[in-house]
Amino acid sequence: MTALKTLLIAQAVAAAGGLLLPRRWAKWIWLSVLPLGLATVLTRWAAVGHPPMRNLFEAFLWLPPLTGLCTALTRWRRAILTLRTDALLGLLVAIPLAFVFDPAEGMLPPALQSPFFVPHVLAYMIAYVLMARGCLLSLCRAPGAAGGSIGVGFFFMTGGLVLGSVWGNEVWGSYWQWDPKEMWALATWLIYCAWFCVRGDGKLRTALSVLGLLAIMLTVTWVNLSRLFEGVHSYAGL
Amino acid sequence: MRERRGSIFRGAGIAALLVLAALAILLALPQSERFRELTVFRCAAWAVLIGFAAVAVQALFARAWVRALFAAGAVCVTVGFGVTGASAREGALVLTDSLSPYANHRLLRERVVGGETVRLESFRQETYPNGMPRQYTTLLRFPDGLREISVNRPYRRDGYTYYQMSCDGGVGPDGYPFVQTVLTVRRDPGVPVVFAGFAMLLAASAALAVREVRR
Repeated sequence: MTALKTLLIAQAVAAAGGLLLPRRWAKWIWLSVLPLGLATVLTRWAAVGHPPMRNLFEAFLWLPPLTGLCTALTRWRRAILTLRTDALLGLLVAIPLAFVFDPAEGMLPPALQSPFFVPHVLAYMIAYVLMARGCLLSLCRAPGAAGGSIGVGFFFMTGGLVLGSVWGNEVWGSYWQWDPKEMWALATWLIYCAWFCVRGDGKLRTALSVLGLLAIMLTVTWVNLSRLFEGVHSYAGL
Repeated sequence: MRERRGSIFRGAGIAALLVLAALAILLALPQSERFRELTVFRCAAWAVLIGFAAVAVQALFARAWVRALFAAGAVCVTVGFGVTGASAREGALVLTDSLSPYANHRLLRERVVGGETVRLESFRQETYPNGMPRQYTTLLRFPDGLREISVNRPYRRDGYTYYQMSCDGGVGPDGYPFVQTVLTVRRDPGVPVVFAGFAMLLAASAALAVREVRR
């Protein structure tokens, strides 16, 4: 078994431990996903020779450590432990990473060799983690933490959209390609704009955060992998 | 009364944003580009522009600065899209390097862009050990000297931008090998307007994030 595979399985075990074990132990086991995730990213980086963000597998590598970081930051900032929700998210990502995705290595095509590559993908990964947490926290009736998560996530989502657009203008000569993934990303962004229009923390905000998460999941999986949506993001497959 | 009117406007805003999201998803479907040519699409774009402009003005009067900045950013982006749609110009610039003694090399290597003669000096394709393309680089001669253009490194000159897109090659009908560099030359006055709108949206979303974190 390769070092990467071992780390991916260890990550999945840490997430499962964080979800299922008693709180006292679960906290530390879940937070071990931070060094484990970082080691996974660095191992992959060393193997492929570029920041691991070329396809869905590599982009997903960033999600468990980012989720662990969010747990630690929320604990420090709001003095609440979002352990179970974050561990659930971590597990939902860590299992496909360890057992479903094909970790075949590949090189960067010319279009991806840009200074915008890392910030664009990273901004979206941070946004997706924060939006998913925001949705779960809304459903768990923790509106303060959910609002903070979605608020910061929206900033990163806007940043990702803007950076992608500026990058598109540098590489293809057009800041908007009307590409299926761009359109879905815009639709997701508009749903979160609507979330900000809702006053208070009622059911409508929760419903919109669920709708937003659904749009994110479809953008990341269906739009990337379906042959129905061929476009400039086609390389972002499995 | 004011409270009720506010909630009606808020509800209408949420509904409008969700309709826009649904439209964006519709535009992601295959062959939706035909829809963008329709008058109804232009009317929808005008409605978006007027809607965001009304929100920006109302927010300014209400001293809701973040909302005003956000709506102004959206107005800027929409106007920029309109400027691009109305006045952007784009053309392919395909230059060929051939070893054929029978070819008219000047015709193959030179083009006139914006009144200037542009000549292909050389084209280079770098590859990875497995043969996958790594980078395409074209060296062009302009009246004032040589300029290098590669993917992700466009060259801007007198309002025109030269982008390296791809390349082609093979053996010509005369049996001699040739290589073609495919560039795009584009002039788009809408870009600065759109990017100014992006900056406003980014600043407004940062303010929204701070507000939500402090809440």
